[in-house]
Amino acid sequence: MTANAGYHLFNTGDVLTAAQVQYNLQNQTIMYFATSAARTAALSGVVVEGMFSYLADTNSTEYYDGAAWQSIANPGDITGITTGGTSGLTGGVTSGTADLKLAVTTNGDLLYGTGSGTVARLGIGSSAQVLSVSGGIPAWSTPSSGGMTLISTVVPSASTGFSFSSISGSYKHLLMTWDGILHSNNSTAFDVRLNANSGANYNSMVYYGANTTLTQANAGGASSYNPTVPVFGKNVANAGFNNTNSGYLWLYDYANTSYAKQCSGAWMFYDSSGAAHTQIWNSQMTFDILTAISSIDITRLSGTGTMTITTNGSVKLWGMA
Amino acid sequence: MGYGVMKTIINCETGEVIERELTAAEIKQQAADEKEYAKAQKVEADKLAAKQSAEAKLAALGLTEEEVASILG
Repeated sequence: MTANAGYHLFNTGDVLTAAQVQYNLQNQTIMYFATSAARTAALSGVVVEGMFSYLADTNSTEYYDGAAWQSIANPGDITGITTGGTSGLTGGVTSGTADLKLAVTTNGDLLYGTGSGTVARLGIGSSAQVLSVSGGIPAWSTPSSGGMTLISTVVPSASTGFSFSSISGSYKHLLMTWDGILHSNNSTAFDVRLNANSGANYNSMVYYGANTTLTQANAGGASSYNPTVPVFGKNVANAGFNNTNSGYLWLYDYANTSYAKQCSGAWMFYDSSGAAHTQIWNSQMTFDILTAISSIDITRLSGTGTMTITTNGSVKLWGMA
Repeated sequence: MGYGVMKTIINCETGEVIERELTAAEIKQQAADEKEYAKAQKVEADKLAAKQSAEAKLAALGLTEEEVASILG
């Protein structure tokens, strides 16, 4: 079969030859056929590379590449969209319609990069977990309990004493805070003991300010924190604002069994029977016992009165990590 | 045996709260505590009284309140 003659510029008055009609005109136009079978029949022996045809039954335009008819219905040069196993996408195809989706499977899934162009799926963590980093990649983890844990709260009411018992040894330090403590009369005192120990094991150094005077009140070998200046106050019978007993007490390394325990704290109250009513105490105390502290006892040292809490007051025990 | 004075125990492990009467040993301890407290208060009161006495004597010598405070704190 003769090849197509290519582009030819005709001039006015030219007489077309059969070859020109065939190879310059006909072979370079889009031929019309009812079906591919009709095309095959019509072009038998004359089909040549570069021919175009239109098939009415399929509404398709095709060209002959020298070996077969090829469709030009989808002339784009994208031959496929592939999604690798670590691409973070699914739904790739090499034919037909791509339906790309993120490679997640479950509610709460996250995708994170694992390298250049690759990702991995991270399933949702459990309730209250936080996103952190483990081994250089994101991971759900349970947050540590933080610096402080509220172990217990007590709201004394007409109390003659109470104890925080069975205190776990899992914390580093203990902190007791209290506010709004009120005594039922002005001849009662409440102090603190550790492990219900009433031996002569409490050695405290206390400074207190009463009105304009600063005084030192040490207690060596006492049987409670400081019987001179009880931690939970003495004669705290004035319910006026600022007159109740409040304060804090630290117990450092309370669970150790190698050395004596150190404590420090501060508290204030209004001594309704004393000459210098408003008193603010600052103290350091050593408890000369090696045993781990597992209970804190608020005990009545003197009098017959009880301890109550004013509005919003409480006694709280905290564990410090 | 009841002594009428109650004590509340808060179990920090279980949250259980138990209220019970003081034991005989605790009642005995209370009596000792009363004595120790009274003794401590007397020491403190004596100390305060001595200070006040010193202040009065210094004032009688003609020292001003500020001068006395600068000595005794």
